[in-house]
Amino acid sequence: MTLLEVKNLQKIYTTKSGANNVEALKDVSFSVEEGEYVAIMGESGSGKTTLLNILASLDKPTKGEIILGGKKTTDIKEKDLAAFRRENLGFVFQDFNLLDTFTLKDNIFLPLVLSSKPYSEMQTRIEPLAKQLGIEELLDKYPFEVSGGQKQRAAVARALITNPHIILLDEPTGALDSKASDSLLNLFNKINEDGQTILMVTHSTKAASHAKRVLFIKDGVVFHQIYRGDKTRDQMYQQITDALTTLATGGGNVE
Amino acid sequence: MSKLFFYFKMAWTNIVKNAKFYVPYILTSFITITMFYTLQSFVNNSNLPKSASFRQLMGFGLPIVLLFSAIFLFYTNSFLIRRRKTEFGLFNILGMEKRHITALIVIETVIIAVISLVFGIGFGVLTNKLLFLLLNKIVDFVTPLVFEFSLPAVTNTVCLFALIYLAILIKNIIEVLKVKPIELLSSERRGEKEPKARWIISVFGIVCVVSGYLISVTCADAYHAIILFFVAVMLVIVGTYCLFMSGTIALLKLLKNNKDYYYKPRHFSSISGMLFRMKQNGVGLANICILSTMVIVMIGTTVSLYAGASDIINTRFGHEVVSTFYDVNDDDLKSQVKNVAQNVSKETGIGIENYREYKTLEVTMSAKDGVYEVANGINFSTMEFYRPEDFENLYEIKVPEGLKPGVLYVAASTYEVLDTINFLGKDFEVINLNLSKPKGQMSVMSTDSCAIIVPDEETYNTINELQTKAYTNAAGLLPSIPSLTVEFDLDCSAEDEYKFYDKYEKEIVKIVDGENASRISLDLRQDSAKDFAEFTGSFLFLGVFLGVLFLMATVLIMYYKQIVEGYDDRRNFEIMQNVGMDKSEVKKTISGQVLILFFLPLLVAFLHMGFALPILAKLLSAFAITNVKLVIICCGITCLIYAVIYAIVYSFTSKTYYRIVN
Repeated sequence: MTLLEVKNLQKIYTTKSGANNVEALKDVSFSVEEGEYVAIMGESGSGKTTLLNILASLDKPTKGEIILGGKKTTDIKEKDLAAFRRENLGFVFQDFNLLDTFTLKDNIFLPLVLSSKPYSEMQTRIEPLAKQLGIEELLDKYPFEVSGGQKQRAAVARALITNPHIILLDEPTGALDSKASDSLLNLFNKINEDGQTILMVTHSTKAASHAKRVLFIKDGVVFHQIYRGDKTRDQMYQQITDALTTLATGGGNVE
Repeated sequence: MSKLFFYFKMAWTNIVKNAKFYVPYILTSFITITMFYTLQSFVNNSNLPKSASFRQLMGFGLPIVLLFSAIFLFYTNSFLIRRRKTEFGLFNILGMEKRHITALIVIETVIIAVISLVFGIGFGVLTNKLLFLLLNKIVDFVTPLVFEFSLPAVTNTVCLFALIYLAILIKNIIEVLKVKPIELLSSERRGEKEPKARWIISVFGIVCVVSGYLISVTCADAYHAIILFFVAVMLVIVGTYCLFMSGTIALLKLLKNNKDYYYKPRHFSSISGMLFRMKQNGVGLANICILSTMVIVMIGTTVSLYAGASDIINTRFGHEVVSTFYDVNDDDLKSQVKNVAQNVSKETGIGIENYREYKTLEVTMSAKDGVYEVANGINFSTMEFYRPEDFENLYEIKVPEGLKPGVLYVAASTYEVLDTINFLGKDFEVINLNLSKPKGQMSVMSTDSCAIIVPDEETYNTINELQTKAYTNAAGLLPSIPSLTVEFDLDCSAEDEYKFYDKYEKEIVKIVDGENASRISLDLRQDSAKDFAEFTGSFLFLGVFLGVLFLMATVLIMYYKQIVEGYDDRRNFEIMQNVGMDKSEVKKTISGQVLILFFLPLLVAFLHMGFALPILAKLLSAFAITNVKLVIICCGITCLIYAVIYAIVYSFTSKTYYRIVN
């Protein structure tokens, strides 16, 4: 079943004078099935951050539409957007975005508190999640007291605790060392195996090689895509590298 | 040369670029300098007599203004330098040596000092004339102020403020040189642990504030008010600091531990946000609170004093001409004085009205259970002894016939005098007559007072001898001296009163002649009234002047706080939005916190003021201001005006804050 459908997305940034219009997204279309794990790759300036912001409904497209779980997100009213985001989407950011003034536990609770869930329900939801993510012992610590990898796990827990349709990962391993990255990426695979739909934006080949499908964006259009299929991760890694090389050297359609 | 120019240009760009921080700083310098110059120019004004109470009061205000200016400038500077450190770190990494940076700081400071001094003194000179006109309006000067440009005031101001700037400069250089560039560069805010609730300090704070309040509420009289006022003030100040620094945190912790309350959208981020804010801002808020209280109390009391000035004069001087003679026993004096008054009246053609003369012996004692002893610091009680005819003259009440010799008749008293009293070792029989309330100038020191009629000369002399002997032997105390007061009104214009008074004064001095001249006190009510009006007017001016200075300090602290917090909050604001909080919700949460932070000190200041009222009223009663309603109204209006100014400052600074956060 298709969970997320992106149709002919276009985004033009206009300056005040109107003299320097920048077309960040030209015409992007793709869809994500339920339970999929999709990575979107592209160089800086390829439009991937713009795409993520629009998917996260933090920004509005100039043209085109997004359908999430059968609902057109582009039609949601401004005042309902925050609640919609909170209940349907989970976010994990490169720089964690944890609040310094909260313990990890309170950081994870934040979206539930905003949805006015009772405390007892928060407790029952956090227990299995913290166990799965291996942060049970750290819940009462403050962000500055734990490592980057642990912070990111807490951020993942915060994204998952609302049982969202899809979680959006923005360069989730960008601020982590390779060991912490590996373990986090393995964790995403496990979460995905449990049925969680994941969409990740990255320029790390290694991170992308963990996904089931990789989309490449260049100059505001989806340029190419690779399915993992039965390939091993090393084969996938190799294929992504090749694709990137072709993209960088400006070749035509691969495959 | 071009190098110097380059530094200048760079320093100037730096100041302009950091205008958000430098403009208030320069404004503070500018205003404090203007204020200091103004006071200094009053003190140096050659047209004012040296003894003028106005000059003396302004001279008293001068060091206060200087001290607070120095503190404010250091304080605002510390905000500045903290923010600029990163910038200096960058310069250092880009290849500027420390000596170059030092040169830059020196030039920046010089620019700021010159701008502030030129504008501050310039503005001071310009507004001086206006202020003189205004002052002549509110203060009824004995010698009207005349405007003059005072060069010594200028040089004095320049020198003293140059010293302050030099001290700030040295501090800045040391601070910047001490830090390594890598540290200067890393501006990342490091996380910190949630503050701990310190229960003992919180409880101590509550105890301090409550006992301060209790002192004020239970204070019985002006004497105790004078002794205990500073104790109460200190207690409340200490308590306020404790409560702002740990009491608020303890309270928030309590709320946080209540899970069902804490995990609600409206409370969640507010409580934890407030916890950290209080940790960083406790001291600052306590400062604001204390400063606000000081402003309100100072202006409230000086306004009360000013407004009650006519009451004071009327209480102190029952008649237009008052002459008091000490240690003059012969009855001739009465007729001599009367003769003089009548002669002068005939000569000048000015009529005398309400002539009255009375002798009195006023003794301050310590009394307990009917035993009256040499005043020893507790249970003060004033006793006024009158012969029957003197009492009748003063109180204008008929004394009953047939008083028994040797008995003391209590004619008026604030308390129940026992039937037998022991006065300095001798027992006296007492009969209460209750003819009136005690009148006249009850001693400031006393809790109680009574007017006693002594029917016979012999007993009167016995009492006088007893107190003379007892007080002569007591270390550091002086015996009381019986006094004769002659007072009357004149039926002429205020100007003609001087004609009469000058002659009268000359003649009276002749009677008592030479050596005894120090034992008379002669007063013309309008003279004293003028002196007093100058005093209260100057006092009001100084009160408002210092009030404005403190208010400015408060505003400044609040402004910098808002800016610094704005930068800190910006990131939290973003995160909360990312996690799914509405923009308007985020704004609501943050504005709620800002509102509490802003108005909590004001509310506490008002509370302090409310509880200070009883003791202030008692203090003012020492100045013969007994109209409590007047005091309450004056303080109430002051609070109201202060709240309005505060609210205006709030709306202004919160705008800056939201501009930063968005």
